[in-house]
Amino acid sequence: MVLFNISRVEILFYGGLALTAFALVLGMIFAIIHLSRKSRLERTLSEEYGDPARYNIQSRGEKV
Amino acid sequence: MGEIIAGLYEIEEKIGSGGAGIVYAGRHIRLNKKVVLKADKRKLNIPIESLRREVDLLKELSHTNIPQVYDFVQHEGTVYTVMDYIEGESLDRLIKRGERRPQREVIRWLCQLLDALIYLHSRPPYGILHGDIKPANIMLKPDGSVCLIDFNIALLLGEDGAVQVGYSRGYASPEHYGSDYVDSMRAAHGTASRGTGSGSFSGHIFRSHISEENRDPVLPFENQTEKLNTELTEALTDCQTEKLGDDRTEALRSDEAKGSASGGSSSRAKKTVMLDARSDLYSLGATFYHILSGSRPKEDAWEVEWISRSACSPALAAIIKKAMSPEADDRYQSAEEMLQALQSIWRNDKRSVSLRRARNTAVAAVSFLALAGAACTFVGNMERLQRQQALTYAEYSAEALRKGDVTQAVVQAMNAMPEEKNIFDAPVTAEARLALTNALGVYDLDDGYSDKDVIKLPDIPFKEVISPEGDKLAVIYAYELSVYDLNTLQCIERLPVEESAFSDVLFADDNRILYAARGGVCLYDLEKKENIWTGKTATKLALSGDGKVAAALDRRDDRVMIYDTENGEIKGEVDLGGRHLPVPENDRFADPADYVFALDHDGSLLGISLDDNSVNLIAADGSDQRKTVYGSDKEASFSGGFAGGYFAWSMDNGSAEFGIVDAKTSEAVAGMESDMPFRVRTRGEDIYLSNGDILEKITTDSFSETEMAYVPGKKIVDYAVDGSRVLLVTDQGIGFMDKTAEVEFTGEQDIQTDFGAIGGKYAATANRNAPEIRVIERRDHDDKNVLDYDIDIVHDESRISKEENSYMLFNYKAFEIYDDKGNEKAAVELEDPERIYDQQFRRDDSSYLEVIWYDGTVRKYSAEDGALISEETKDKPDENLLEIFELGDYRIETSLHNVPAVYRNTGYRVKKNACLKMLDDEGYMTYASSLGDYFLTEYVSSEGSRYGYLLDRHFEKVAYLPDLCDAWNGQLYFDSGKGHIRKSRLYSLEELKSLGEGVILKAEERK
Repeated sequence: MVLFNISRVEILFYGGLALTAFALVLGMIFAIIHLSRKSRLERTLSEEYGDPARYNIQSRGEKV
Repeated sequence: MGEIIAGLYEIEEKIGSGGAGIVYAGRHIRLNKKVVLKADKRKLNIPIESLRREVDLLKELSHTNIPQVYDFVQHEGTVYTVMDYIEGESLDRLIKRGERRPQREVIRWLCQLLDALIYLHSRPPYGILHGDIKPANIMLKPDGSVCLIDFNIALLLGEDGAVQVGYSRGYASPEHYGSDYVDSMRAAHGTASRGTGSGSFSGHIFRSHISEENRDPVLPFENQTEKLNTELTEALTDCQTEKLGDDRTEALRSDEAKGSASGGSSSRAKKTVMLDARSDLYSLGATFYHILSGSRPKEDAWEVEWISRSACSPALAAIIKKAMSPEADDRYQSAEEMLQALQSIWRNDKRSVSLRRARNTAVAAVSFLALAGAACTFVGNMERLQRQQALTYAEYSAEALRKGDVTQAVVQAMNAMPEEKNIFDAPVTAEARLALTNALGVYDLDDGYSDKDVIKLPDIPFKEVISPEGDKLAVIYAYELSVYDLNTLQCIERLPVEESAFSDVLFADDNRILYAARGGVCLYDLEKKENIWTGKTATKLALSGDGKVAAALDRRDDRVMIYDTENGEIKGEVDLGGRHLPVPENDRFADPADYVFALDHDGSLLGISLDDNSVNLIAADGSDQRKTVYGSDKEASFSGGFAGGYFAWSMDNGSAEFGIVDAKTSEAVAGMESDMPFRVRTRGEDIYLSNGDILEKITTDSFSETEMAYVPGKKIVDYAVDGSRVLLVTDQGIGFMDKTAEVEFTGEQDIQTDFGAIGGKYAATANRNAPEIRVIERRDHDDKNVLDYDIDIVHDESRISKEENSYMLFNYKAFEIYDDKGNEKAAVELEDPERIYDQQFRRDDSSYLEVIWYDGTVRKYSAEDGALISEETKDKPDENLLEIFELGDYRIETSLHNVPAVYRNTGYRVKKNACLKMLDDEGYMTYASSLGDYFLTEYVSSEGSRYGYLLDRHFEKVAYLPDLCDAWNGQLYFDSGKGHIRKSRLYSLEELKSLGEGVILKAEERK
């Protein structure tokens, strides 16, 4: 395969590096978006439901 | 002051009443603590102890959301239970006021109540059911927490005894109304009975009877104050609880049978009631249904409507709904389960689910991309490393080939080729393929000498001799003599030799060798593998010209033994008078050829150089007749031998002398001096003499001198003669001279060679620094001839016609056409050859030679008969000799001063007309074409020789094609200018690999 005079091996190697880098950058972007959405959702859910998961349950031996 | 109970408590006010008794608010007199006193309405015929036990059990309960029971007292026939006074108001008050609390607060209450239920349901031995959860039985304390009050303490007993089970319509689970009710409701709503085997409930089931009359109790919400602890109980008589075993259905049936006959004072009909923890959960769900929706749930559990979105979130509504499932098996099976559902409400909210789904999708996508990228990088890196390794192996191969080690060159080239079994194997590189093609020499069709292989020796060689027929090679190295078959390069024999650097070996004939063995000179039969005869110790040997007489001398000795070659009989002794062969300072590095020790044709005369720096002719019959041909007091090296009736000798002691003497009379007949050393060899009637860069032959019959070779700029170090063929060893490589009288140099010029031998179709060379012998083979490829032509025809190019039935040989001066049988069909001289700009052989509709003159004249000559097809005048051609070769999607442009470049014709993937690659090479590109999956480029070197390259689709060289003249119909044509045009097919990679494996296999067999 002659692609800009680059061989298949080089395409695989450098392309793979580029793809991995792209995946990492994309992952970081997704992480930022996700954390932002999660934070907002947590505020909303806390507003709606309180935080029952954090309630200490005496019958389980947790300190009330 | 209110009534004093048991001297400890003072009743302050009545705060409630119900079926089970009256509830008072009071205080502990001494502690001044507010308490609740509950007067038990049950008849005192119930043993006091069982009541005490009730309270004792209650006193053990300790939970934030359950009131603490402190005491149990009896006063005037009434039993009082003393418990915590819970500040606050019941939730039913909230509901009545229409007060709506935030959902999150409601959830917190729910969690607290579930916490309390978990605690109760897990009390030993069977757990405690509340039995009557409703808003009125839940207190909202000032701190915002809730407290579950008024649970049915009798349901903690878990033993036979009266139990009062209270229920409130709407809050009570269907099973509160009895099993008949449940069955009828199922039938009414068209749901099948599940029996008691489904679901995962594993708790205790309280089984009781209720009376018909008491199925519809009155809710005691009348006349309530703010601090009212409400209590609603249903007075039941003749109730029993039974602990059911695991086989609930069975037990139930048996008890149903018993129940009807239980007797007692009841005149009322009894219904079977089976309650368990799930019943409490139903009631709890119904309670919160009411709190959230503002409406009491319908009594018919099958008809309870969903809580609307405006009342609460769908997630919470779903939890309430499940808790209120008509079938107990469809509810949460425990308070813990319901609490977990509540605590997971964030997680189970649709928005959380959606967010998680989005997150998971993103993670999956990113992971996939990262993995794909990593995989590509990994595979690419593996292939890169393979490529680098392949390049390294290809270099090793080229280096081995340069040194004549063909096997090693093939091995390294094969190492450069991965097996391509999986995706990690890189494709075969062009460099690897080029290395293999070069190592195998499949496209080298020129007759001449080329490397066959290298024989590895245990030690550096001192002498090598090729047999008369040229198929065996004898080599002496330290302490051993080896004989090799030159066709197979296999070692035929190994024999121990005299411990001296000057051991000697000669071929008596093709199958017998005369050699200086340990213990004495030996004639050895190579076929029979046995000694024919053994003589005295010797280090130097000579054979007469007729082969019948052998001379042997131990250089430590001064007597030469003369043997009959056939039987080893001593024919005579020559006494050297105390003299010996010259002893060099360093045995190991002395040249064994720097002596004269030779017999004449019939073995009657011995020529010998001695340690007194003399050359002598001595009678071999022991008659002591001797003549000194040369003598000096200066140390010298000598060479010489007999030719015809003469003896030729040379001496070098800083200046060189050469002489020819009559062997009989010792009279000098010729001689010369030089400042460069001479080396003399004799063969039959001929004397060969090298001096510097010249090799001459002197025939003794006429003393005519013939220049054999002239190698300007080089120095002849050694040479060997075999008939018309001469091997020249110079200080800049080796060369061969054959009947064409041309010296053809082969191999790299910088490989050190010190001596050589030639015989038959082989030559062997060696140097005193490497333990190996380089074997060179003379090859001819007559089997590939397609045309033989007169070698005197001067031409630059050769082409085959489109029909493959004629050949045109041409240059700017003229062209000749031959048919495929070699008959000349036409010979045409071209006009004004100095003004010819270019010639191109074309195969369009017909084959023709197009000749272009600088003035623009273009003539086309038929390749069939040489006739002029057409003549026209065009624009004057570009003097830069710009040529464009179209190759489909690509083109190659070349001109006089520029490196040929590859361009893309189409715009796919690469910008149109983008330059893809430069095809730099030493020669000038004359032609380019496509050949199947390959491209072919043709060049002419600065010396005028033609060659070509086979290129892959990346325009990388995969084969070097020496003497390439044309390519047509998948075939390659080669013309070295020596009178033949030869044809070869294109070798596929698999064929090359197969050939390579064959070479390696043969080498393995030799070991």
